[in-house]
Parts: sequence; C-alpha cells; structure tokens
Amino acid sequence: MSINSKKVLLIILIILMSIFLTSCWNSRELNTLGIVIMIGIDTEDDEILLTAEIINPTSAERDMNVPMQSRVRYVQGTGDSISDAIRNITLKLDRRIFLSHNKVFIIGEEFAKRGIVDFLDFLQRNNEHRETSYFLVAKDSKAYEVMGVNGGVNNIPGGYLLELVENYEHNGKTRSLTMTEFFKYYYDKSNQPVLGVVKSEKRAEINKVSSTPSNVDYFLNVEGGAVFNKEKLIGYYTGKEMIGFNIIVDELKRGIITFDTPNGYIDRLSTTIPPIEGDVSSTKAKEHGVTSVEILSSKTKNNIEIVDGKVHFKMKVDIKGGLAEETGDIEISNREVIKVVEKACSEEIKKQIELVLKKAQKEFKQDTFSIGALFHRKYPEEWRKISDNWNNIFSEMDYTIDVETKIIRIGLVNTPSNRIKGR
Amino acid sequence: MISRNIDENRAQTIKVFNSTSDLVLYEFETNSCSRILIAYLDGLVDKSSLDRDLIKPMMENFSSVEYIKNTVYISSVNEIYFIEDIVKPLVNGSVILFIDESNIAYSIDLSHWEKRTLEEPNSEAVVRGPKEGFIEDIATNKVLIRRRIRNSKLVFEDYTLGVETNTRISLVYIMGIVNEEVLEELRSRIDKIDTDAILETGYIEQFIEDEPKSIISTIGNSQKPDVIAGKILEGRIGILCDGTPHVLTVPKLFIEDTQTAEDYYLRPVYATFLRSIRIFSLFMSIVLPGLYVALQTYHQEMIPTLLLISMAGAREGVPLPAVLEALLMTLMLELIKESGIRLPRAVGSAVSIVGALVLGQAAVEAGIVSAPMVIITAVTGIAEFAIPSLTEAIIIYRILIIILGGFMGLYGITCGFVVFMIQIMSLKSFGVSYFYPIAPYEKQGMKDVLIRFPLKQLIYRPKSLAKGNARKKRNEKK
Repeated sequence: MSINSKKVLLIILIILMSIFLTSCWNSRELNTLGIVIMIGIDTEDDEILLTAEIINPTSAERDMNVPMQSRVRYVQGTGDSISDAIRNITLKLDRRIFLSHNKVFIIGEEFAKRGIVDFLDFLQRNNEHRETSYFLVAKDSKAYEVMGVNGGVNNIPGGYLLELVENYEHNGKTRSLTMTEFFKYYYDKSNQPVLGVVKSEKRAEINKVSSTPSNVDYFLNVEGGAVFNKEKLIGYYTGKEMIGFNIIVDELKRGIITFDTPNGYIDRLSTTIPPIEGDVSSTKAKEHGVTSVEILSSKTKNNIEIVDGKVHFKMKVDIKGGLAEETGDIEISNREVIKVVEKACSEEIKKQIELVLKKAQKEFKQDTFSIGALFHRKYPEEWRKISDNWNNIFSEMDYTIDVETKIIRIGLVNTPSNRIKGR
Repeated sequence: MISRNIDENRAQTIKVFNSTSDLVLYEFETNSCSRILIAYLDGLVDKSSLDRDLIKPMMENFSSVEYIKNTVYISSVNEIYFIEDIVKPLVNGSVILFIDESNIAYSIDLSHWEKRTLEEPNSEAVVRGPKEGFIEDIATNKVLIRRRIRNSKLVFEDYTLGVETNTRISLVYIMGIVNEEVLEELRSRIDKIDTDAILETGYIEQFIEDEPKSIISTIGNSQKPDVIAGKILEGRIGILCDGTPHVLTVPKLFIEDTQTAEDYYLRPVYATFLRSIRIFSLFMSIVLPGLYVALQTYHQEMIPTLLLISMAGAREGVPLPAVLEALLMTLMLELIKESGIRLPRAVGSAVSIVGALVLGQAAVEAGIVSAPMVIITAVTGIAEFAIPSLTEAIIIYRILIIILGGFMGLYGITCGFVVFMIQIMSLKSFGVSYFYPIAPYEKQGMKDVLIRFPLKQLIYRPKSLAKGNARKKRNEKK
C-alpha cells in the first residue's frame, strides 16, 4: 500500500469517525420544530395529562395586529408516563416537540400531591431539557387552568409567566427555583425543597367597555411557596411567610417590610407641634400610621450549636434598607427617631422569621431551610447518629434571632406630608 | 553578420520580421551622399524626436561612421554587429540605423508610446495617503518607486521572460535590508521559469509560488507605489512586470492582508481599531453563513429564545433546507459581484438594482429565502471587502464552511476551521513562515499585528524577512 493511498484511507476514516462519533448527527430544520415555551403537568383519571404551549412561528413577526391567542398553540397529550404523554402529542400536532427552549414547568396541584418523582426522572434523562427552566406549582388548580392566561405586556403567556417569576428579585414574597437549584435542595437529606407557586386570579373590573378578550380579565399571581415532603406537596407558605423564608435561606434580594409606626417612643423625641383644635382626624392618623422599609440588601449568617444536648439555632440578619413610606407623625431628620424606626423594623422582621420557622416546626414538622446541612457541616460525627431523626429534632429546636436594620436612605423628604400640613 | 550592402540589410530585416506591416523602413541620403536606412516599429518611437534629433543632424552633418555619436543628438546609441540582434532593440522601441558600406548597425533608443495617466487604483482607494498608482509601463513604475526611495541602495534587477512575449521583468529591493537568501532563492526560481508568455504578474506568481494548490496566496501584490515602497523597506522584494500595474512582493506574511498603508498614516489608536475590525470581518465573512446554518439546523438550543422565534417565523414556508438556502444566496451574491464587474457601466447599475430588489425583497416576499438569510449574506458580502486582498480565498473557505456546517453542525465548522488553520500555518513563503510573527511567535513583530504601536516604537523590521538587517537605521549624528 503506497503512502498516498494510506493517506486517503486515513482521511476517509477521519471523516467517517467524525460523522458517526458525534452526538449532533440529526439535523432538524427549523420549520419542523414545535418550540415549547411552557409545559403543564397534571393527572387525570390516573393518566398523565401534559399541556404544552407552543410558539406559532407564522405569527411571530412583529405584527401587532395578530391577536394574542394565535401567537401560541396549546396541545395536550395523555399517557401512562410523561414521555408517553409527550410522544402522544405528535399524534395531534404537525410538528416535532422541541423542549430546549422550555422556560417554565407548571405542576398541577393534584399531580404534586401524588408525587413528582416520575417527572423528575424524565427531566434528568431527557437530553433536550435546559437546566435553567423554572418549576412552579399551580396552587388550588390544574396546571392547564393557569396556562393561557396573559395579564401582562408580553406577547405570549409563557413569556409573561417567565417574567413574573424573574421579578423575584424585586419582591421577596415569592420564590424562583430552577431545575438545577431544585435538585440541589432535593438531594439534600435534611432538607425539603420549597417551590414557587402560581395562581390564576380574576381581575377587578376596571372598565367594562374597553376590556376586550375574555382572558384579559384574569392574571397570574406568583405569591407564596409550595412545600414538599420528598416528592409530594404537603402545603403552602403565604407571601408574608416567604419573606421570612427567603431571609433564613439568605436569598432575599428586595422586598418591603411594613409595620406600625412606633409612635409611642417617638412622641418624646420629636419636636412637639400644637395640635389643631377640633381636628380629630389628625390624631387618628397618628395612631394608625404605618412605616414601610424597602430592603436593599439582606445578609444572613446562620449558626448552629449544641447547648446542653439540645440543638440551638442562631441567626444573625443584617438588613440595609431605605425608608419607602411613612404615614406616622414623626420627624425623620432626627437621628434618634431613625434608630427607633430601625429597631421597630428589626422586630417586625424577627416576627416574620419566627412565623415561618414556627410553621415549619409545628405544621409541616420538617426542615425546609437547609438547617440540617448546616448541622452536618459543623458536627459531622453527631450528624451520622441523628440524621434519620432530624425532622423531629428540627421541630423541637430552639432558636435565637438577631436582626439588625440600618436605614441608609430616607427618600426625598424628611417630614411626612401629613405633618407638614399641620403647620 | 550585418552586410555592407544596405539593400541586403533591408531584405534581411524584412525577413527577420516576417514582412510585418508595422515595420517602417526609411531610406535617405545625407549631404555627404551616404545612403542611410532606418528601421523602426510604428508607434513605438517618438517621431518628432526621430526627425529632429536623428534624421536632421544625419542629413546635415554626417561625415563618417566613426563620428556617428558626435552627429546625432541622442544619449543612447549602441552598435550592432549581427542581424539577429536588431530584434530586441526594435521591439523595445529603438531605431536601427544601417549605413551603406558599413558592417556595423546602430540601435538608437527613441522609445515612446501611449501610456495611461497615473490614477488612483479602484481597488486600493485611500482616504489619507498618496493617490497615484502604478500603470502598465514598467519604466514609469520604476520611477514611481525610485521617487519614494531616493537612495543608492535601491536596486532594480532586470530580466526578460517569455519565449514569445519577451516581457520585461524587474526585481526591486534595497541592498542592506533585503535578505540575501530570499533574493538568491527568488533569482533561481525566476531563472527556472520556462514559458512562452508572461502577460501579467499573475503568471509569474504561479511559476514562483511555494504552494500552488493552496487556497490562500503566498505572494502579495499591490498597485500602489507607497505600499510597495513600504514593503521593500521591510526587507521584501518587489517584482515589476511590463504591461501590468500589479506589482508582486515576496515573501508574504498572513498579517499583511490585515494591514493597510493607511494604518501607518493614521493615528495608532484609530489604526488599531480599524485593524481589529478588519480581523473581525475576516472571521465573520468566512464563518457567519456556516454558523447560521449550523445553529439553525443542529443547535437550536443555543439560539436565544426570542431570536429563535423570529427566525422560525422567517423560515416558515421556505422550501429549501437551510444549507441549500445559504449556498444559493452565497452563489447569488457571487453572481451579482461577478457580473457587476464585467457589465458595461450603464447596464451595471440596472443589474445591481434588479439584483438588490430580486434578492433582497422579492425573494423574501415570495418565500424562496428567509429574511435573516438575506441579512447574513449581505453582512458577509460587505465584510469580505474589508480585506480586499483576501476575497478570493474567503469565498472558497466560506462555501466549504457552509457545507461543513450544514452536514455536521458546529462540530464540522470547528473541524474545518482547525484544518484550514493547520494548512495556513504550515505554509511557507520563500522560506519564511506564513503566520509569522504569531506562529512562530516573535515579540517585536507582534507590535504590528493586533495593535499598531506608535512608529517611534516600531524600531524593528519583521525579523523573519530582514534577518540580520532588522533594526531600522537612525540618523547617527543625533
């Protein structure tokens, strides 16, 4: 065999190898794909019902005249397993389902209570999934009842819901958990994952004349969190509890804390103003004054100790906030007054943290905050003995919460407007 | 042998030139009654000078053959002893003078012919910098170079190539800067050229290049004297050829394509910016259509969702697979470019309008191609002209990348790119690595690759070109 024919053979070999040894062998033209944006999973009659929101590309051009509904198509497949249900969609849709661009998975409440283990396995096994897609639980409803609601500005319902979930960083009353993050919590022995929730709500009638399609009257709400025990849904946290939850797991980005203005302390400190005679409403407003603090940054340091054979959980929270609203009759420019407000804010935050901790300890009787992982890290020897019993220990656990608030911004005005009016 | 008989010489001359019609033979008698025959080729000589400086003094003052140089008012007079030797001076525009009773003929250089005026070359227009370009006449071209390098070390070395065409070739270099080994190699390669015709420097290029099968050329060319002067000042050798304004330079480096003369005339920061744009557009014009095809047929998950949706919307109803669509559009672009050059100017604009409308709008509206593909093709079409010297190679590479991307996705593109890079890096131009100074790496040379350093800091010529003469000379008095 001459050198030249050896070379040719080598080249042919390389080309053949490159074709057969790569994973990207199947080409799919773009116009054969049904691009899925959102998937909802339910159970119905012991079968799995899978609803997919698919982009309708013909109407994707930036034509504002295209009605909202025709931008997407909804297809449903039923089957004994999730992959069966997905494959059965092809019996009803002229496109091949393409999952890589799926943004949100909505789990119907019934399905979540039944257990989501088959769903999790399907996600991990399928190579098309993207790990950044969000998991949400449809509170009190089927997943497909939530889908198709577009109460926002985005063209497609899936995009609307995605942006709602991503608003997480502006408001701590919700939770956004992607697939990877979910598994991070799920694999942890001591910990039970908390997922975001979504709920369809009816809008208060704004103007009957101008309201056009029917679905505009509904919008979605992602307030709250869904608590799981292993693979099964066992309950919900409310929006207020989610703020406490997010502070404990140190994931709070932004949020508003509202509490009664601590008038009692302040009256001594603030400069006195002569009350207008006969004006009852001004004193009334004083009593019901509220203060809102916007959390700008929050840092939590958790620590766990064994004191006298009992587990003791210690939290130290550092909050930096800005004064967002003040209706009480107080003089903000006074440093002492600010300190009192800060203290009241800390108390309120502490209350909210206790609220969610108590709920986890008494109602769910399980650790949803990864406190067990903390224990594991600090006392690996002891952990081995108690890990199976951790949820009981958690329920009995003592805790001290230490919150320190610092108000770094007070906004554009010093004095609340109702106080100025008094002058 | 030149005959003593003037009629014999006339017959011989006609015979040597096969009775060609542009051979002019003119016989006259001087005042001293000597018969004189002059022969020249019509149109190659300056007739007024011929009449004024040759015929008139010969008629009036000719006395004897010995004093002929004292008689005519011309600086170039050579003696010819053999009838075969009249051919070369005649075709180069000399007048042959036969004198009766003398067996010596004289060739008198009166060459003069119509030339194009010095214009700015279309393909190498500049905003800042000299606007004149080479023309088809080699003597003028030599002057253009000499005028820029007023130095005794500038050497022209003449050759005549082509058995039939007898084309005049000239090597130009600067003694003391040029690398002698490269010069020796070039001389030996030029000596080896055995062909009947040289009509353009492209002929020479193909005879002397290192790697004839390579897609990318290993010999540079330019139509601008300032560019050539700059190149030979870096230690390269220029090859001028009569009959073409394109001058070759050897050895060539890959980075030369990304450099322009203007880089050195403009401020360093802006020049660096322009250079990075050129390198980026080189990459884009090769890879972009293939990348687009690969992404949309194999790697849809890599495209941002919103872009994918609008791409899917655009592709809806397009009958061809993406790879064929890309090939079709690329070929269409080449078609427009090719016919745009050849067509008469008046028709050319009509064709470009039709081409733009048909390709741009009508094809999209008719659903034959998708709108993003038109955009991609347009971008690559524009990008390729940022590096005009590489357009030929870019097109071939682009088509190969489209095919690879269409059949093997990003994997194919990566493999193809690696193969192309290996091929380019393994090239040598007259013993100099083509990818110098990047591979082999050389620190001083890198000052003129991605970033164009200020001229004050560019104190070395490319070391692989100039070898021992790399350090630029300064005025020693200071």
